[in-house]
Amino acid sequence: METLTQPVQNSMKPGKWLNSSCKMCIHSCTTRIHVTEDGVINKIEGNPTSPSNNGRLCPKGNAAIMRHYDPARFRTPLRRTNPEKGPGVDPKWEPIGWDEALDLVGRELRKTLDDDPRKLMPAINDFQKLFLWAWPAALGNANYLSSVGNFCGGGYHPMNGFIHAAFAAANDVNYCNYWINNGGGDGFSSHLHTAAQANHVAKARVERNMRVVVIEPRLSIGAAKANEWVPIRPATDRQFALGLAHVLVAEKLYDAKFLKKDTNAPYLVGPDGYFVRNGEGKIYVWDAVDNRARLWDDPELNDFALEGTYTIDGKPCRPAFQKFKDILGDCSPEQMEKLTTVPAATTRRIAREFAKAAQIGSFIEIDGRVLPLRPAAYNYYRGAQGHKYSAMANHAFKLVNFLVGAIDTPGGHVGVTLDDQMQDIRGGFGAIRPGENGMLQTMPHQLHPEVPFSWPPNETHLMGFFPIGVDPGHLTQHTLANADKFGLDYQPDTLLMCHSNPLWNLPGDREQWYDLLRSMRFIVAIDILPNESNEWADVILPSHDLLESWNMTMIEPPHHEGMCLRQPATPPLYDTKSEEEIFYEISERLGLLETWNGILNFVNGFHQKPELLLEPNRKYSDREIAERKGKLWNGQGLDWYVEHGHAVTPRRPDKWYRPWDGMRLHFYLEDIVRARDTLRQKMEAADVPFRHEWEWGDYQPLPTAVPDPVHLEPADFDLYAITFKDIQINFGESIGNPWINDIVFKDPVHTAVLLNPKTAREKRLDDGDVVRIESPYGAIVAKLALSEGVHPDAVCVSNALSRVATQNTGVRHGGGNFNQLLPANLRHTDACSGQPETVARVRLIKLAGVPTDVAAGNSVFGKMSGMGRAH
Amino acid sequence: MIASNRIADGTFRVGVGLQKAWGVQMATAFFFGEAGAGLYFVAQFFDFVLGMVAGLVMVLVGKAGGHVLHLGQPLRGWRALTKVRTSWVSRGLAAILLFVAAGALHVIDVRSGLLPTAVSQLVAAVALAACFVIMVYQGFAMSQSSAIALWSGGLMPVASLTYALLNGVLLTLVFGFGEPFLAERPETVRLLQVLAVALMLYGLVTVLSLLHGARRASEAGRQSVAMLLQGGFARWFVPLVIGAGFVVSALMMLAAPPAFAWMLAVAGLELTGYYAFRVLVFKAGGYDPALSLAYRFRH
Amino acid sequence: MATWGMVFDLRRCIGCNACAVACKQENSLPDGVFFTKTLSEEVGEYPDVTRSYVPTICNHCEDAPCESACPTGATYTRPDGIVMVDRNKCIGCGTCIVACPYDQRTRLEPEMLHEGLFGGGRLTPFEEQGIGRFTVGTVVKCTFCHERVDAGQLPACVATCPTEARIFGDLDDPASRPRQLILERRGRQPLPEKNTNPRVFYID
Repeated sequence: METLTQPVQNSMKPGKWLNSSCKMCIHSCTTRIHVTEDGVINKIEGNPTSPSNNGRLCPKGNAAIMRHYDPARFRTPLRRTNPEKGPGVDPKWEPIGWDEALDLVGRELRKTLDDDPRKLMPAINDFQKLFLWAWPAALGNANYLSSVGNFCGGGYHPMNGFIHAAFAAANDVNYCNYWINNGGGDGFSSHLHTAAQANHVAKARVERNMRVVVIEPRLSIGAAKANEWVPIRPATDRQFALGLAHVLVAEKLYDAKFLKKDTNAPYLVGPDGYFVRNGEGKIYVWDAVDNRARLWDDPELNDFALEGTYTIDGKPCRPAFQKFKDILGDCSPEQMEKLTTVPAATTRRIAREFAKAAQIGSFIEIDGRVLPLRPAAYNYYRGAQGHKYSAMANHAFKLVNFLVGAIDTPGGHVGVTLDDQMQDIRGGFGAIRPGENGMLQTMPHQLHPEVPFSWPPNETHLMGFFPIGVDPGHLTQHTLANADKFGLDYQPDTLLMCHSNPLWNLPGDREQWYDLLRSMRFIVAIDILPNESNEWADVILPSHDLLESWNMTMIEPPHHEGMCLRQPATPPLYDTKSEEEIFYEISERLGLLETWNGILNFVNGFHQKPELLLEPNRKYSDREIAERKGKLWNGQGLDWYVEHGHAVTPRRPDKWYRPWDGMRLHFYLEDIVRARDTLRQKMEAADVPFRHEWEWGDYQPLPTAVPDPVHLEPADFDLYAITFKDIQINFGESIGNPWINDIVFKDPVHTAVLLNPKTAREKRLDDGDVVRIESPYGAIVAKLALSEGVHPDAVCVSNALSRVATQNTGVRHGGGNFNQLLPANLRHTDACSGQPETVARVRLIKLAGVPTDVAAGNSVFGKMSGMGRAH
Repeated sequence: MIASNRIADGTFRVGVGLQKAWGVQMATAFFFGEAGAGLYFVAQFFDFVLGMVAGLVMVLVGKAGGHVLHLGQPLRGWRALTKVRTSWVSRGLAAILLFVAAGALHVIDVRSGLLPTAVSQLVAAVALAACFVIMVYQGFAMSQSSAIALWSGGLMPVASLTYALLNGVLLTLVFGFGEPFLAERPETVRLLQVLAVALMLYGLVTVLSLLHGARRASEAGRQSVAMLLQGGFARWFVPLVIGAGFVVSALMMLAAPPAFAWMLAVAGLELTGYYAFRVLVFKAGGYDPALSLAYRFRH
Repeated sequence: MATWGMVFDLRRCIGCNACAVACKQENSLPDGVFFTKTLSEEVGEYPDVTRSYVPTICNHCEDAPCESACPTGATYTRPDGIVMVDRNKCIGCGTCIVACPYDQRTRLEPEMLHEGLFGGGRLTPFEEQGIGRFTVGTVVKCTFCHERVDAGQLPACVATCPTEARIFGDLDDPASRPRQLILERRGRQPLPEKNTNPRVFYID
């Protein structure tokens, strides 16, 4: 027998355990980190004391050590010595000291500020330090060169703000029995706290037999685990949802009591799309018993009419519900099948199953509160909502939940706040407040206050023209290419990136993005590892990684809440700084220290506990900011958090279920009509030349079945390309991490582009063929793999294939970035939400082989390294 | 195609995985084992000293040397003697050591007659027995485990023994061609020729039966056989193992005049086929998927 | 004395391979070496198609063919059923690799240990602190995280599995979770026809 004096397993070696949190995706599963006596981090596990992730971690969370010790990490501040910039061009970095680097950055940013502060393009994307996103506000700058947020959730987040006054939404796993996932991986492969959600959803599936129905063009992980996979043609999810709604309404499978009592569905809508109001602004409803109009809160009212056409003061009007019913007249499952390809019988069956599972009329008592129990919910995310008519799509999915009364109920579809719902953070984006006429006040701005309209526009991405949406960073390509038309009276010349990779995440033509970056006078990047974008920087400011820094965060936890601590497990390996320190140093050099502290107080909500307020002219460390955020949450100091690691508890039922009790939800979104008309007035008043081209049809108070313009592309682009991530590459940069590479590039769905075998036969294509995937906007190259788990109209491109060569040689590249197949223009952007279309119409052109530039280097399509050598 | 390609090839797909632990070095060692032992076996029958020496050298240098080259920790190779009770590899090593010692002693004894008769006979018997073990144990080493369907059939030791005898006969015809025991007795040459042809036929039937059995044994067996007969390895397996190793060499042997060139040619063809057999049967060895729903789904 | 075993719940497994990475962390595995991995398989034809995920690991067989085939005694079974390899006795002949019906063993080739996870022969501090447990040319495999188990903890893959698809426990104890699951959901052993009597069971 082997005799051992020292353990060989890492977690059993002498050392210490530290509580911390993960940051391998944007969310914050709690962890415990093992550090050896020699100070080496040799194991990271989930923290079993957290009821959220229950000690579990996803593969990315398990791979954090490899990011920490990645030899490609930036080790000191760097200055570019190669004046030539381009994709894959070596910047020829020269190490410099921090003082020199910060002085240089301060000097260059000062130039920009003195010239025109609007010329700065920020791309600050650290989700666990959301307060950093507000730094450009210190300069009065609201530009944004990134697609983070709007690519996945441009329409999603504002709609959650409309319906739940929340940032995200989840199906309530605690009670749900019928779980529809449409184009989102919640509970299986992606989105909110993946390891935690997968844990809870697996329990519900196996221990409670929760039925899972997944609607997607590709057999994703969720679809593979589902009781039923419903393949759907890409970009037709809204039509599927409307087909469901049609059945629910036509067969009277809806929760009329909920709609009458808890929503604005009975409010009467006039021909102008606004509610019918009296002189004092109070809204009318129709009394179904007395057959007369009454004010919504008339105590004499017998019963709300949901249906019918009425006349008030000579003006025809209908209850909002009737308006939706009118729309649904053209949305039968049979009509929708023509677009979605989902058999009408399937849609009808799912609608009936869904309604039955919802147990309309049932109640449950939780914490002494009697709540409607609706254990059926329709969840969705990027794949379903990432289309031109995104606001309408989001609304359609919400309305399916509305119809069965499953909004914010136990078992239903529940709003998820970014942080604490009740706390007045970032101006109260997550607060539940009463609005007018008994309705909940909508909160469509979940990330920052509304950017004021301006003409000429102050923002290259026209954020001032989006009174509802998430920053459409991609539009900068469109506006700069047509600067005269869009009235841009300046050309951005400075780029500040912080944990951001806009060249990877932005849709649109790569060459045009390269031209924009070439035209920059100065680029600074705060980051850890080289990527597609920071190889263009003039200066790199290296930050600590997640194992070297302090933080306190609670980011979109679906079923739990409470701050999670991040603490350094080792001293920094290299000459790096925290993001807090970097921004303080820059702010000080720009004379903005006081402004920045004021902004930090605002976005972190420190004014709620005045003893936490940051003093105007001090610089604070990451530790000091983290400590304040922890104290704000539960009054506990850092020592408490170091001992416990987190303050995670299940969501408090009073704030999780129907926190708006007594207010009415927005079944009908009059606010969208108002936003449209207000914007139109502003554009008229300013005589904005493109106001007639503006996509005014995108603003709808109720969703319709109008096809997204992607379906109207030229017919010879006969397939639909979609991109997908799985749990191994969920969010953010994962490729290049050797442990992630080791599992991703052995998984057949990530090493080639997937096509249905029947489609392939029709096109005389075969497994292993090399094709160029061409859209009207761009092209990429790929190797094909045939899979039965693909809709015949779909071409599925793993996000693992969308990297391009960088200075980080561990990053394997595919045949180009999927996003270059996508347009970055107004026509394919939802004017209501800023959401760009994320599906591309494409055609496949067979190539003789992998082009040499694609096969070069560490290509996924070149010689496969590591294959089989382990046997 | 993701759904229908049954060879996993190092990916994370459920499918047949190819073994890569035993490769060309192991095949070469096996080759020399069954060539050398076979030669010694036949040579001792004829008291053909040169043949016995050549057989001993092939086993000692070719087989043992090949194994040492293959080992991850060659300096500890002696440890392989410890599990004679259960391991065919252990038994094989014991047989090699015994064979080399007894065989060398026997050769010396044959040349010098230094041993008393009883001891001499005992040494000869021990050498022959150990030699016989080497002629069959490689087959047992492969078929002992059920892991690889292509190898695990009961015919693998039969194939080993058949090949070893065939190799021994042909190498004896080559090495001993000008020697008195053949040169002076053409009927012995004829007998050996007939024996060779019979062994070739027997070998062909054995190999084909072995493939047939593997194909019916499991998914992995079917894939292994398909690789050998239709897939990537067929362009080597069919012409070399079946064609050169059995069919052509048998026909040539039937037609062969008692000429050295012919003997050399036939032996060369057969040994080429045999070496290809050793290499390709290793390379095509595949594991069954631990759990395959698609396989159950289809069958 | 317990007899350790594992159950894989195929309904729970989502094929994320957090298990595989956790194992790499815990055991400092070189690039391309896995003690456990989860495979996937497409089943059926469009649109009646699904994908199953199949976790695989050393089955710590009661009748371990690797152990009987091993010529040196390097492979042995602990009294608690964990099948181990003594790296000081292993000669790297590979006999156990071809004897294991589950393809769960790997011989450590020099480049695996010397190349480094990031290539170029540079080892990170993480690798330097962990690589010493390995000897070039010897065979390695899953040990059920024997040191963790000896300390009363779960194997790393079990502890991290997001969906709790891996259930570890004492197969001798009728009240243990694995025993109950095997009984209730008719657990089956992989490749029973190989007569190895695995201590790993699949339930679906």
